[in-house]
Amino acid sequence: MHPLSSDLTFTDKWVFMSIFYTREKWHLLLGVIDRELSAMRQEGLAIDKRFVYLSLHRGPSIRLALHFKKVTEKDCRAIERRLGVFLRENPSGVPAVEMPVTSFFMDFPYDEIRYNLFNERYIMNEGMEPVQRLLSDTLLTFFEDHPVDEEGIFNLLLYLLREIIQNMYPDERDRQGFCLQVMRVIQLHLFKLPGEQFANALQHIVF
Amino acid sequence: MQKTLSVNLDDNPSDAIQFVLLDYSSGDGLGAYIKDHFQDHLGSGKLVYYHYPSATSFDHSHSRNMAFRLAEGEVVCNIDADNYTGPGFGDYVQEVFQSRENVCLTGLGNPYKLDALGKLCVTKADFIKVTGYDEHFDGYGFEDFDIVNRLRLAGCEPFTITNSSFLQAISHADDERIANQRFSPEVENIYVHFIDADRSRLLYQLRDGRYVTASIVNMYTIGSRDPFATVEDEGYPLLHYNLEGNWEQGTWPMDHGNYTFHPVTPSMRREAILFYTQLRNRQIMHDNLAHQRMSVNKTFGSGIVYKNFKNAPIEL
Repeated sequence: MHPLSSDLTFTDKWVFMSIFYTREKWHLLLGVIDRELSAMRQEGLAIDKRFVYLSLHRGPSIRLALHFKKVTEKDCRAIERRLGVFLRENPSGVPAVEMPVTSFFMDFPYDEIRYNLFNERYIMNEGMEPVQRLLSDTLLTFFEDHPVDEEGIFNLLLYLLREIIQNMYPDERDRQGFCLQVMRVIQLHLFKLPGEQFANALQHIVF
Repeated sequence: MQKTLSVNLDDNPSDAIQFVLLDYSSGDGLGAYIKDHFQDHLGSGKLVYYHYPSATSFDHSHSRNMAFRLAEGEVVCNIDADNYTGPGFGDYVQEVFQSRENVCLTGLGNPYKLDALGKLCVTKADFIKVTGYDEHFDGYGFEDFDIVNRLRLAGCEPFTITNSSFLQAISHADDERIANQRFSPEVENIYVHFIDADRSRLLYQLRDGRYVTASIVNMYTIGSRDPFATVEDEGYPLLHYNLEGNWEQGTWPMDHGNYTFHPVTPSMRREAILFYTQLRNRQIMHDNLAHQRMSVNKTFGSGIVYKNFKNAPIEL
């Protein structure tokens, strides 16, 4: 039992957190979220699923959908406090948008945590849930080393492609065969690479 | 109407079912279209066409009250022009009213279509008893909820229509919802002052030199510091903002005080107009309920109409 779980207890419950934080530093926050949630889970917090989303709705935020076997408000406040330490020590440093062009309300202030701004509809149904969970774990770990900018997202897509291919073709020879097929399609329909360059490109396929 | 009427007529062939079509000063050639395409139905009496030429804007409550008063059946149903009845809907309604007493059928609460919320079937006697739709309502929103509340006060148990084939309708954008309403052309400009992430102040500058202003609260986010708070939007669709305090009115120019107002975008303007009329209507609905008002109009559905393209005026 987590030491703070002493008030009203909800069982089998989703908690939806939005952490408003400047996008330029999302990669720092993602790493902290990963570490803090893992640490709290080891300390006894009954999180059994966690999903991560990146959102720009009403201001840039990292959204966490956390499923608890059981949870109290104190548990949520404990997560807030742990993440709040990081937010206080590493504030966004820029003000949130105070005059939105297309909304009746200002964006949420940076460095604040809010609840229930999204809901269960974001959780994919049973069959796709493991994929969504894998993507969430990837987001948490991948962006720790990469800023969440265009280049970072491009690298993430490459990384995901590699992960998918590795999962689809565990055998190295099969993987190379698949990649050869893809390269041939690209050569035929897109770039029409000269034969020599095509052969060179093949040599750079490394897994 | 061009899409729905002929389908609705075909789907309800029973001689016991009559369609009353009210042309509420429509400016889109509805009369000519009916005359050109529905002579057989007009001749048989299956379809009756009434023209009300005196409307300056579309009034949901008044137009429905007129149509209900003109209908001659014991059971009367509101089918909005964008609604399909669905095959056999009239027979279903007859079965319900033959097997049960003191009931009404409503599209409210149906899980399929917001555009079918306005479907209402009631005995004409009960409709008269509650004096129809409240004509104090202005613009889009809540008149359907209000009349069902008052029918309940009159002893009618409302049943939600749940058969999806009876709930088909052509979907609408907000633009169409506010088109032809009285309030929309009265508004010159709409401005917003941002207070925080959950609150803002809206200012409507009217063409007649007046203004109305109020602070609004986002009911979806106001409780967002609480992990287990639930959104309190009173269970009604289409309205997730609420007023903080009351509307204030005055004559332009207003004293801006500490407010910094910014003009809203065209899409926000539509939303703000819907918001104003819906909130106003919702307040009337709440007052009716709080005071247990069953009948609300001294007269209702009044006016002069013309039947089947004849020149003889009929005064309601």
